[in-house]
Amino acid sequence: MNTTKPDNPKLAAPDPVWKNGLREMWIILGVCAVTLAVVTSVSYGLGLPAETGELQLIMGMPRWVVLGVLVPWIAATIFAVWFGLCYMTDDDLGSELEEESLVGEEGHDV
Amino acid sequence: MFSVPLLFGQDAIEGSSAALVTFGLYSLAVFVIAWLSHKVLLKRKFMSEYFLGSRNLGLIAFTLTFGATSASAGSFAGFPALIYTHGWVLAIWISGYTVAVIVAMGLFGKRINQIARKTGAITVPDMLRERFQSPAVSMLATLMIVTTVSVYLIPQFKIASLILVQLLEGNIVLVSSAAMMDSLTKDIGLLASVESEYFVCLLFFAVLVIAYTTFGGFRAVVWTDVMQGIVMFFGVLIMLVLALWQVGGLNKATEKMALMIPPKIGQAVFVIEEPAAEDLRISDNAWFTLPDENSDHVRLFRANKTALIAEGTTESKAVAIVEIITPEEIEDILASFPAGKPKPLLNVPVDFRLYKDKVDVTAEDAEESNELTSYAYGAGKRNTYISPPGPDLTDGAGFLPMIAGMSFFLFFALNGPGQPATMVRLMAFDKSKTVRGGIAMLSIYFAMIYFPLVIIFCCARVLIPGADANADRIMPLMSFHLSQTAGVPWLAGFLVAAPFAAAMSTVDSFMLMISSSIVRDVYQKSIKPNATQREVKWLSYGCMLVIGTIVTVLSINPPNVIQHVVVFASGGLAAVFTVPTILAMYWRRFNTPGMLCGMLGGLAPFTVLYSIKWINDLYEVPLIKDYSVSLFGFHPMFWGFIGSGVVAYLVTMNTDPPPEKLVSKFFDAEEIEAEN
Repeated sequence: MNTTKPDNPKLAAPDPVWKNGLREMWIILGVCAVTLAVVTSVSYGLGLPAETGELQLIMGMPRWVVLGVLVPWIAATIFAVWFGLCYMTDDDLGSELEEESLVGEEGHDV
Repeated sequence: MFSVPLLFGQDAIEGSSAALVTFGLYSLAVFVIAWLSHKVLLKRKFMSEYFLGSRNLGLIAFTLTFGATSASAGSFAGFPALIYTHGWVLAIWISGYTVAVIVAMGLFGKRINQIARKTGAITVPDMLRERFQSPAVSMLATLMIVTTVSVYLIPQFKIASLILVQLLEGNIVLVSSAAMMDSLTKDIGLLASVESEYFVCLLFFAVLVIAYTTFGGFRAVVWTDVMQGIVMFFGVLIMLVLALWQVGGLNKATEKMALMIPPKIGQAVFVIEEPAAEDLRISDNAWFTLPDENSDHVRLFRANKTALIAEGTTESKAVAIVEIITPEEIEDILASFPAGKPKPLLNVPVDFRLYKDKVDVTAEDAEESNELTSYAYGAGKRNTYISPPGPDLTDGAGFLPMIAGMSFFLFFALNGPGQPATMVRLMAFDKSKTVRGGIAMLSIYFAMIYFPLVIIFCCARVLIPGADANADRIMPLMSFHLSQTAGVPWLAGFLVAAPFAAAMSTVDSFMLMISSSIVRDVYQKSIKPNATQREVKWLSYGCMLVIGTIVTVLSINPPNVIQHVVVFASGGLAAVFTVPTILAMYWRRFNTPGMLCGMLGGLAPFTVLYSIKWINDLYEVPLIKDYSVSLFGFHPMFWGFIGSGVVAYLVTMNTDPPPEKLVSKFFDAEEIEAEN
């Protein structure tokens, strides 16, 4: 493997998979937090209380289910498709180590 | 004791030959795939092929194996049971799946694959060992995986067996095998109380899944996962169409659910006057009635488990029953039977005794009572099935109050990355383009499975009333009901193949994972580093057999509500692995003591919170009698995340940094040759 020895290790160029993955991780956690806030606030905001609420249906489902779960679900799915296909970087993940270095004796293959 | 004035015969929900043929073809396909996989295995290097499919999964295989492994019996039996029991609020409960795929694949998919390639790792403990150069980390991870994943397998075995029981109901092979099993096991304490049909089906499933997983290895698991993923997808879509059609549209179903008052739950013992000349069975779908002392109406009950009055005896064991409370529902159910032609349950007069206690209490310990147990939240109320928090039998605050809703969102959103089976698949894809496409494809796939399941099993409340006391079987019941009502009985074989596939795809993956952890991380790395491939191969086969046997034994008397076991086991794995693994992927300063303490820091609060619950259940401690497993409404997994994060940070910052060369290997574009 090609190796270098920089004067200050901290100045070595960061691994692009690590750098890109870190950035993508923060975005994913942010989306997760936003979705949580939307789902719980809308669902419980519109869904409670059960006893006094008048039955309001959209496409046969309670209104709070459509606005609090189905719509965020569709939005999150569209985001995931965009994120996966358009935003996430295509990184070189490297090559595989040979199994010979991992298994002891040779000549006993199945 | 009440004599039975009016008894309705068993429902038409039972297995059929056509369904059996369809299901048989499906099982045959699984074996063909295993055989083909074995052919590939013979041409490649054993370890990386058997346990990781040579790390070359493409988009379709990667996506569907990821999806099929994530979707377990919990998704296809436990989750439907909860929808059936608690109603529309389950849409919130499962809503974490809105982001589950992007979190599970995107959070560290590329990083874990890269590190596994750099180190040649085949298992998760293997990868962690190389990342930290620490056998201790690997051993702790192995211990966690072997114990927790074994627990996770129990509900998978249970639901697969229940499906087979339903599929084979009335089949001569099952009936005669069960009778033979009865005679063999009646004097064996552990087996005497087990329903023999269930036990026979459990053994069949165990042999099927152990055989093909052992024979075919990871590639067989992935290929069958692909087929099972397709079966699950189309199974759900067909069920959705049939359910909406048969219920008369979703508007009608939700309006009926709004009227529903939660039922009462209890037990009944069926009694006859003279000792039975032969075994007498009262079906687990039988209806029976009793005049209501307070009104002109009748009280309507449904048996939820099969009652057996054995030859030479006069009464059955206590079986779970449900009493329908909603007047409109009672009217509808009575009207659905041929008027004036009630079919007797048995050819001899039958009486019964009612018991107030819920399921799993023996008749000797139960309280005989005319009144059954009411729901703690929702009793006597309408609209509870269409609004949060949803009715609950034991919790007076309802099934899913707001904090619990947030807790379960986080649970499903964040527990994916911490599952070793997920991590193994992330280590197995061929290039980063695959994981990018996988995020898009699986997000759509999950959206088209999980939300429709909520709709389907809300319809099931209307189509199949009174199954609340044994709701784990609602999936197979619904499959048979839909296909028989539609006049296509063979379709039932395909529909039940979906949950069966979900259980099977989880079992095979997890058994392989346990086996690989033992063979690779314990035997090959710690006991005999120079083991030959032949030794490794036979040890792998042996491990698979032993694990399968142990889980089969543990599944003989499984817990009643399987979803609780699924949540416990997957939550435990996530509490231990998620935060430390994220830190291992992205934090340069993270070191071995931090990793070890982080894992234990996640395990400790999780274990303590569950232990308090178990102690409370066993000894009914007054001080904590109202304690639920969720502290301040948040599931123990959440506290595990906090525990592992805090402990990992504090320990890491107060111990020596890791060697710079090791850090550079995983975090720099070009590895340095540092002195330390």
